Amino acid sequence: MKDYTFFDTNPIDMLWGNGRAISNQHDLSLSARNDNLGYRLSFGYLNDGSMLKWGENYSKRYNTRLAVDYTFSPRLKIETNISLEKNDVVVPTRQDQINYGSQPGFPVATVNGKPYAWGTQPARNWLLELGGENKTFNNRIFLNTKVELNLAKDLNLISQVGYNWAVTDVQTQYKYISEIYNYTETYQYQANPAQSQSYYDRGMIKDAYVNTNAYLEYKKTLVNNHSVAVVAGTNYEREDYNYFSTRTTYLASNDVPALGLGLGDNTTRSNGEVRYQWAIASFFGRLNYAYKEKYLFEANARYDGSSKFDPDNRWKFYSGVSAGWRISQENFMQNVSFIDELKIRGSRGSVGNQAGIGLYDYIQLIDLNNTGPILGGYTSRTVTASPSSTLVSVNRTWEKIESSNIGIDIGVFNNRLTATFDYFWKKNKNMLLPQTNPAVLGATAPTANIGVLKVWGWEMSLGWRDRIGNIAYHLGGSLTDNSNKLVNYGGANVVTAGLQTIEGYPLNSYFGVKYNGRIQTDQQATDYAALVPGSSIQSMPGATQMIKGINMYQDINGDGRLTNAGANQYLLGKKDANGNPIADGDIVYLGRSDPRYVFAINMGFEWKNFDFSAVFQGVGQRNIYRRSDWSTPFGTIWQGHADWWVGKTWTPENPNAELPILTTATNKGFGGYGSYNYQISDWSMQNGAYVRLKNIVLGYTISQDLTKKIRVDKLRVYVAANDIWEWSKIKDAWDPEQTPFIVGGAQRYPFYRLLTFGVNATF
Amino acid sequence: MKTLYSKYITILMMAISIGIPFGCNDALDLEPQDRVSDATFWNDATQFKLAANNFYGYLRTFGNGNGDGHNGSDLGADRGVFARGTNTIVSNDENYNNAYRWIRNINYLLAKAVEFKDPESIKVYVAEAKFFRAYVYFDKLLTSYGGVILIRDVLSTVSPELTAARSTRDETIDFIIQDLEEAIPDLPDESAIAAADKGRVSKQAAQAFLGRICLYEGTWQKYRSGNSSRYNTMLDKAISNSDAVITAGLHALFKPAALGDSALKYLFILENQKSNPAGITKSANTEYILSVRYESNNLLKVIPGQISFGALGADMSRKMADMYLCSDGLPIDKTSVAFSRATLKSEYQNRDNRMRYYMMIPGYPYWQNATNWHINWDWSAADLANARPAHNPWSNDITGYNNQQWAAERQVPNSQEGYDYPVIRLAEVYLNYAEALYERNGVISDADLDKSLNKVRNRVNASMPKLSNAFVADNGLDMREEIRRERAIELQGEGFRMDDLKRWYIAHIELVKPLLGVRWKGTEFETKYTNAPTLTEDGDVLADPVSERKFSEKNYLIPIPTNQIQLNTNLKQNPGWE
Repeated sequence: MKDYTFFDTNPIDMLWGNGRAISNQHDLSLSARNDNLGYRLSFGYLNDGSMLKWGENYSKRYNTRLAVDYTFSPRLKIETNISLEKNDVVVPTRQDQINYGSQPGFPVATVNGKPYAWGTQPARNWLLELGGENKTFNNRIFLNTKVELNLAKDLNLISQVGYNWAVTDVQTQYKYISEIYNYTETYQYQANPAQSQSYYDRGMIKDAYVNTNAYLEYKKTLVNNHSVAVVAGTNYEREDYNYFSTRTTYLASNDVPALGLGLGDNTTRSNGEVRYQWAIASFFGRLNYAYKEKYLFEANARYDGSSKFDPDNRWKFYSGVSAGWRISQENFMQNVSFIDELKIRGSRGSVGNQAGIGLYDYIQLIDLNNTGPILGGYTSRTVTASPSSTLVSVNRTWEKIESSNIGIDIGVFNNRLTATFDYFWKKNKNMLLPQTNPAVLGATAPTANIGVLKVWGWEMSLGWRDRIGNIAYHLGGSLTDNSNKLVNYGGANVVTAGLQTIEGYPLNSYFGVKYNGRIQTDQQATDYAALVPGSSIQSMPGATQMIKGINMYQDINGDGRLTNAGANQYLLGKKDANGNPIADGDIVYLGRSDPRYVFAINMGFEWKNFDFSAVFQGVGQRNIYRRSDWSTPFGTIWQGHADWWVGKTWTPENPNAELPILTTATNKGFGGYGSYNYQISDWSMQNGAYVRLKNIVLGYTISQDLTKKIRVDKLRVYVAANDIWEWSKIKDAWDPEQTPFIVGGAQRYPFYRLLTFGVNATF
Repeated sequence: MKTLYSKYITILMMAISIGIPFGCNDALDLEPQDRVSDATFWNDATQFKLAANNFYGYLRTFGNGNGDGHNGSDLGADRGVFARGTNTIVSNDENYNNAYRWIRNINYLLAKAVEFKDPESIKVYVAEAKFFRAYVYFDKLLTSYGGVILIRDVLSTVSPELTAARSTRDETIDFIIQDLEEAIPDLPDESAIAAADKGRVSKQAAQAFLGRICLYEGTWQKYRSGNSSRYNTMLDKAISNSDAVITAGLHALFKPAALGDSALKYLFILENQKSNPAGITKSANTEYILSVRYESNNLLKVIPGQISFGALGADMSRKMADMYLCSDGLPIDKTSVAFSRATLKSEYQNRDNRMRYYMMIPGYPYWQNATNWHINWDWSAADLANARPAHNPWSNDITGYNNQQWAAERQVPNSQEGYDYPVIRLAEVYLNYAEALYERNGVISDADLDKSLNKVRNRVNASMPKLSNAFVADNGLDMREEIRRERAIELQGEGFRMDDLKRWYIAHIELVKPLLGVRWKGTEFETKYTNAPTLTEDGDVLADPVSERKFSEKNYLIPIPTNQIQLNTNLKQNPGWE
């Protein structure tokens, strides 16, 4: 059904309206304290509205909390916290398709305001409105009890048990959509999704987490200003996750979603279950010694075990020492009056890391799947079994990270000016890294303790806090940078275009082709076409498909073709077992992805009843490559795009344009000009440097003289704004805080600037 | 009271918080709760069966009709890189990676079988595993890359095979044949497979497949001046294994009388729902020896991709159209019946019936699953009213010849059809038998032709003269060419053509010819359609000029992906791709 009615609709405006959402938050607390008993009871309510203008969309949270501490005797004190929280979240089931298919120009609705579809696809706003809701009902209980028992003079035993229990009921309805029309309503489409595709899914999650601590603490100040503290204890953490869900497809009615109201046979009902556990346990100890608050010394040790490792490689020992010297406490410094604090310090130690390890990676699992081939009668699908595709690793263990640090703390002019500076260096000696093996292995190799990573860097911060007349103000900033190098990668290395982990380079390094100008003449097209045979870089056009206005890339090794492999002269002596250079292609190093020179600046003042604060943050340098369909103009027709590229593309009249030619989806039988031009190269890399006004607040506290009359202790009104300004080098209009890969994909929530008006009242 | 209470609390807390970590390893020994671990699996024969079930997903099927994704042909209007010979070296090749993933799963079952207590109870699944290992090595690897690294065991990250050199072509073929020959004795006859297991690999399937491989390699070697005793041994095995399938008599060509000469058309779109005028269902089809099975009912397992939608009207080449014999059994340049290209549909007249059932005749109505389906299959006015408009051969502007094989006609949405994909069917076995006999001996008897090839030809052409030695001699035909023609026509849509051109060593000749369409000049096309396409000097539509056809010696093999060569420097690139 052809439907060629288009409007100048902006899909962002249509979906998100004016961007306004109303949220309400109310908190109330009661507290009391006497010699033995402390008591605090609080209630909270939050109703978070939505900016999305289509479909049901809100979050409501109710919570209550009771905190009690009671001193039974001088030797025994018990604190208990109990908290209950209920959180209901409702979003449109089809929210993940917000951006897909949301082409500019679609009508919002039919001529008479009915649901509109283009082709057979309901417009995105109608998918949100009519597609059903995903309702999540969270109930959380937090219990925490702490006992402090005085065993002897200066010796305490402290024991703490925490238990978090969350129950989540997830109800997802996927409605069929039948009342959809073309713009003029001359045609009603078949239901899409059809009624037989509608479903109702109900899932229940029980998630229990327990955390226990017990430690002995000994503190003693000895004669002559020697003070000693010793701590020794244990820790255990464990999570039990338990989820099941069940689904009925082909619902009798959109209006009454219920598991028992399906119209289909047994194959329309399905269920699933996920259960897992993990636990870590530790023994730890710490010794502190100080002399006159001047010389400080600490030693610590711990012995950690994790359920994620094979029993033979489960437990590891770590330790560390640190020392500090507060020079400002020395007698000879007492005459230097402008210095309030001057301290130098240093530390060295090791810790274990187990992040990124699967829960049962040391156990070979069998995957069972009930969507196998149809065998026997044509009535059911068989169950298949296969070994899980990642190899098990029984010899894998904790990463051991050795860190060292030296630093200095300074406070001068009555601590109005404070500064700290730290230099650190770390070495991860048995870093867990993925291994690349030849495909004949037939499986994915597990991460192994094969890497050696060095990290080094520095941090500094500076603050000024003072008062001029009745204006109190502060100004501060921090700046940090770090570098790293993958010293040893253990397994084999393949340099190809993309974001890679390669020995001799920092983690997350970019590699790609080298830009070599743009085809402007027939002669250039002919010359460049000679590189086509044998080329393997992304989306290389055919020899007859070289058109003016597309990028050219450099044949670095001069072998007459462009190959997607590292160029050895750029990759610093990669050698094979026989000492010969390998990976001789045209791919070069394009920099590391992690941000450099991360900084923050904060400032604020208080004047009479006004208070003001602002925080800026940013990075000084960063390399970003946006996956090409996100930064290619019209890279994918169904993705919404910003207009940053308009007027900047190559045309015969504008041969020096910033961007290559804009071509149709298929030109000269080739559909890949977009992915060819915008593939990773030194040309397509972007500078991700930015500074953003992260937060700014202006408040006014109304005079107590006035508010007392209405029995209010404190009444403050404020206006706050988040992310309202930035300066950025990003060219393709994406949010500079986004990583190169668009988190959440096309369906992610759009970037927004938040403006809040609020009132705080204390009774 | 207060004190007592506090003591209990204190003691309990201490017990919990101090006690648990001292449980040490026990507190950290957490087993998977929703997954089966390898240690508890492989205890009974059923579990081996589940593992074998997984291998059926490795068979070629719709969208990957030649098995390895390196599709190409001279029979369709194929302007893809493999037909043109313009494919380039790739850094990563999922066909290569998948093949070895699958081989690992197969080797895994075989390794577990060695330790199993009751070998007799799992011998069928071991035999299936060997069949599928041979299948993957042949269909995904050998036909693409030639000799490959042979992995016979489950590897670890330190196995020497990871950096092994490639085995030779002969070693690879021998390994494939050995697996099949070991599997055949333990596989059941088709008739011995229980109803609940129908669709599993039978002895006949393994024999038929061994016949295919031996014909492939026998002719590959013969046409490259290989060792004659080696290729003759191969051809002998092709003959004996094909003959075993034919002689067993457990399969028959699909030709229900009710469907008459349209039987072959409906074979490819046969479903358990009404998918043909006679209401015949899949149980009537014993031609498929091994297939990938689909079922549309309840969307149990529907065919991947929009197969009917893409198939109906897809362009075919002039070469394909001209290959069909005329009704007197002779090619168009030798026929005595009237042959003309004057009108849009004149060349479809007096031809092999398969031409009108594999291709669309201009001006005829056709039914189409999602939009123009058969209402009641009676060609009544109502039924015709729902058909597509009279077929316009020049709607795609490519060749003017259009396909109709694989296009469902019943009412079913796109991507929800449920017809099976024939991995091996009896017609191929007949044609393998005839070709292997002829290539082995240089002659084939009339009795052997009647036993095989003529059955295929006469299924839908009851009155066409049989192929015989006398018919060849009387009409100046070439027996080899006629055997090859029969194969090209019958199996045109099933992914054999590229492999056939390669093993006959004629791909570098056939694929560099221009891709032609209908005769334009002087025909109804010229008068009916205004925008003339590019034409040859003879006035034929030129769909792809010679300048685009680059298939050369190196294209007989696909290049090894470069990432594998970088990971294993002992792995050498194929000739011409270095």
